[in-house]
Amino acid sequence: MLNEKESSNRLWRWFGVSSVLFLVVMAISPLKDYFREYRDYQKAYADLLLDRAGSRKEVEEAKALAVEIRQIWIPDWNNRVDRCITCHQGVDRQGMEDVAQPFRSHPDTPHSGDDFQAFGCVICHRGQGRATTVADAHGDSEDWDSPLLPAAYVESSCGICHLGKVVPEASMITEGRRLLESSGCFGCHDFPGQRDWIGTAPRLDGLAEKTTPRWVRAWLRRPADWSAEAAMPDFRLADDEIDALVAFLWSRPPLNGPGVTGIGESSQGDYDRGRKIFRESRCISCHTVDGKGNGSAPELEKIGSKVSRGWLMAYLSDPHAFQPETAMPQFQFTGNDVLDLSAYMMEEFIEFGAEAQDDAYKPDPRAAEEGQKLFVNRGCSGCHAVQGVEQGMRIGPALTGIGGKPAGMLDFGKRDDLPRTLPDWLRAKIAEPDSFRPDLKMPRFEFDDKDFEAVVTALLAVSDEEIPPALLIRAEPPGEPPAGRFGRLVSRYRCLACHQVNGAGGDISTAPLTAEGSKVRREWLEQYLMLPTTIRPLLTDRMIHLRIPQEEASFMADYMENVYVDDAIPELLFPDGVPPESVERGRKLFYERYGCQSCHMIDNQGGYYGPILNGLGARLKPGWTFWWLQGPQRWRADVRCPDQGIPTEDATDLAGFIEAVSNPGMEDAP
Amino acid sequence: MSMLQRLTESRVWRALVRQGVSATNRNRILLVMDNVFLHLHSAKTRSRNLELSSTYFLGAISLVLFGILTLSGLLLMLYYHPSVPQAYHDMKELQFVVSNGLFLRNIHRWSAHAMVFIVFLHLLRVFYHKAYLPPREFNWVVGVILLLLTLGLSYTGYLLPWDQLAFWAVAVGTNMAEATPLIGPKLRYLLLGGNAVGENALLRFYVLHCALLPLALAMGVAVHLWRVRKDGGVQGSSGRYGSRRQVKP
Amino acid sequence: MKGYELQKDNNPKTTPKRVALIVRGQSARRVEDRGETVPTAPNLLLREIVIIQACIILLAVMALLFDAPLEGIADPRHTPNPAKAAWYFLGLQELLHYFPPVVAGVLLPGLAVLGLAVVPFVRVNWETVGFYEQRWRGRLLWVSLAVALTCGVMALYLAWPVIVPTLVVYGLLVLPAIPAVPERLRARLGRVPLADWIMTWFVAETVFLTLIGILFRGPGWSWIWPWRAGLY
Repeated sequence: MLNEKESSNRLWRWFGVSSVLFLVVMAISPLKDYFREYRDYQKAYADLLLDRAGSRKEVEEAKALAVEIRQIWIPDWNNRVDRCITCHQGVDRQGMEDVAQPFRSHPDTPHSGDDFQAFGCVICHRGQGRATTVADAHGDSEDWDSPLLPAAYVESSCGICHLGKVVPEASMITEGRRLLESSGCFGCHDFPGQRDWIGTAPRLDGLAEKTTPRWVRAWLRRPADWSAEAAMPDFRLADDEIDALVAFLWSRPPLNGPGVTGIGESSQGDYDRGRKIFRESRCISCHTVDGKGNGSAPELEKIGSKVSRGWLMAYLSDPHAFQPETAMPQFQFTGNDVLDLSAYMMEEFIEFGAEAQDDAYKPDPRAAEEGQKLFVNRGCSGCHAVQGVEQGMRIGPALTGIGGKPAGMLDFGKRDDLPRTLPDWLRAKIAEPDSFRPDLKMPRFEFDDKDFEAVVTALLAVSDEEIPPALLIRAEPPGEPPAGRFGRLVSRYRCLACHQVNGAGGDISTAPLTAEGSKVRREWLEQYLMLPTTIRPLLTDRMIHLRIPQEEASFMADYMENVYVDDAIPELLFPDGVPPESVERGRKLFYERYGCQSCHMIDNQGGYYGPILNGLGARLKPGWTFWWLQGPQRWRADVRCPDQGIPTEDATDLAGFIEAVSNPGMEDAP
Repeated sequence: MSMLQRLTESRVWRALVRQGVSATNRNRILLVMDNVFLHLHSAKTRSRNLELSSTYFLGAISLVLFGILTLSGLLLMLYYHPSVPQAYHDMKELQFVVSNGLFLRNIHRWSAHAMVFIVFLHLLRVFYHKAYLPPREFNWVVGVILLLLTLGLSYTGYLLPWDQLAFWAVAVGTNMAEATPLIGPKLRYLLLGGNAVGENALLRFYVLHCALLPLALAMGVAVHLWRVRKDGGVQGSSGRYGSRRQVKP
Repeated sequence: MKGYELQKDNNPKTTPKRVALIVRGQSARRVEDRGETVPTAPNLLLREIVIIQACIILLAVMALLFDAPLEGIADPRHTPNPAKAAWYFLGLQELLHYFPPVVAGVLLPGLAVLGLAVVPFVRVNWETVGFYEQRWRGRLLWVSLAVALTCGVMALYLAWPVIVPTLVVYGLLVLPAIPAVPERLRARLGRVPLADWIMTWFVAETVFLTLIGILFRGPGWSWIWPWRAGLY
């Protein structure tokens, strides 16, 4: 044993050493705390402000900046706290656009600084709002599930609150949502909140009368080979699967209604007259031919190699009997019209080098049975209806919350090469689903880069984030479709495929029909319905020639004149005729002040970018012109006529001038 | 020097520290005996027990860990709300905003792990030193109870951060409890305050972790230490493995 | 009172005022040796303070270097794979892999706790003599039977992580009975009492099962090599 003194001294020495160490260790954490990462950024920002200070006040302001945590706190929304502005201090300051991050000003968006106070930064950019270090805030740390959203996809965040199909001023997500709808993604997957999507896939009944097994085989092998615009994705079907599906489709009973076979192949038609009808009817207002046209309806370039003439004639006579939901209107073709039109189309629109028709096809019943199973199992029935199969079976997983799924929860399968991020995963999953696991049923979508970006953007917006109701902007529920006889006519001629009524309908036409009665003169409208004239020569998608009979046109014009009236638009702008001084002043305004002639043609002079104003007075009511001039974008944001902020008296005189010049001899009063 | 002398002889000093500071054996003994904390020890210690291998100070270390945990736990309580989802957000606040918050949480977490480990080692040390033999058999049982309380504290604390780790660890644990014959589902219901791990469970675990179990543990420790003193101080490594007779198989 | 000798000496220097239990196999005249004593302050107190400070320093350094884990917010819809309990329960979770929950979650841990609680009241734990320092052949037979029975039952459940430590500890236990083993090792192991063998077996089971749970179990509780697949 050591002697007591010695051991005691050693003990005291140990005690001294451990005490000093103890104190040192205890001091480290407070020091680390003091020198937090954001301190450097805040000092740098203060220096930057000092450098850029232009006045004494600004110098003092910069010097007064304290090192402290800055945050946007939203107590009503799950106590959200976004501390991004602790480092990104210049974000709400103008004039810092040229500065490097993290101090750069926020670029202009439809949302203002007050909005940012209401919903913070993270809801759009993701990352971790509470964090005060760069790595944690940007979500690079392993524990955080929601890393910073790449700038390319930032529009997806608009879609978290804006639930409608069209998100204003966000073209990427709007396009993405359109693609999700038109590609039929919802046929297999449930998209929460997007249950009003409408499929465009045709019914497959009576396919045997419409086309040939050869064509269906080629189509199923890879739809994009047939048409680059094909909405249907590539299901990677094996040859025997294709055979089974064809056998199944050919074993379906023929259509009951329209007699396809009644019109023989031998019936000849007048090719030239058919061509004239094709042009007059303005088919390319919806269809494309060799890529030219509006593109909202199928490409017709090779239609002659696809469908039988009998089917085409029957379809042209009565499309709604084949596809009750189609956007194709009922043209009032005569029997001869159809004969000639089909003769033109079957001869003009063929695929060169196509093989001869194989008309003697008998489906094998065993294969047909196999095909029926495949039809359900591969998700065909998600989009296509066919007799004997229940439609609407979603074979894919619901996509609830897919846009917020942590990357760690994603199944990357064999894709070791992919970066472990959600956008990369989504894109690869759509483009090459079989590269994850060969047995995945998901079809391959052949989008281009832009489309992929748009679709991924739209998918990233499928979020289960809890949003306060006050911030949600729901899809406007479409209004009631028109009813009664007018409604039946509107449906027959598919007016809503292009025009909007009560928020429902297509968006090819400029203004909704809801104000049509206040806009155009009744007589003109009646004529226009019977035989449309060109209003905007620049457009391909002009009003189609439906050959509406006079009695119907008159009824529709009456209806619109009386019902589709916007009370905000003055009924009678000039009850006593246009005063001459108004015309004179309007002329000056037209040519000198607002320079309208650069786009519009009037008195046979001027540009043709906008509608021709010659004879405009016969079409438009002056009240409408007056109202239009004061805000051309009030119906659609993309109207090209600039909003020049025209005051009321100028608008009155301009309307007077246009009325006087373009409608001499017509009285304003009805 | 005289300043120090005057200070240590002042009435205030003497009122606080009753015995003198001079290093006489009398003073040393008085220091331990008169002090409420130090008299956990007897005034004199067997010099054999000063050796590390006697106890490895495992009991003392357990007590220190309990102290660290109590102190850091109290500070953490200032920043913690046992509610969903605020509990999780509070973890983030500790990390990013609270001064030394992350340090507090870290030291609490590691001390908790260390305590489970050290208490188990303490049990082993006592066993292999045969320190449970009469008259210490009751204290052994108290010790086993303290081990269970330690596990209970660690387990209840595990849920409080309300992250995936916490949630699923507790879900696994309570599912095991559910397997108890007859009372299993009721036991789980009692533990969770519901049929699933949710806000009620969080509140229950919080109360257990911050009030009930620490009180029980503190009481247990008091009894444990009292028994150590009453049963003749710590039993070191004496007399283990009996004689050193040759083995004749 | 047979077996005890009461000390009447009240001299604090020697202070053996407690009664001492004389255990079987020891002389009845033997009094527990109290040994030499020193003042607690500063001898013990300083040591304790240094140990306490060392502990705090160690933990503080750990707290500075390693952050406590914190994953994403609890989400009942997303089950992590594997869902692991706290590390000290991973032994039990490993057992759960082989036995029905009632056995792994209630019966076995219950038995373990009960076993620990009754340690001082079980006769075998009073012995301080080594297993081979008394008549051992009969006992070895019983122990062997118990080991065989345990291993047999465990084999039924394919619970090999229970069997391995059992056999290892049993192997060490029988070593002194084998003449071919070096004499020093036989002597050393022979001095270990049966109680210690049992406890060692318990510790080996606990450590082995827990380590498997911590290190070698991955998604779906499948076997993984941590240096290849990482830790879960």
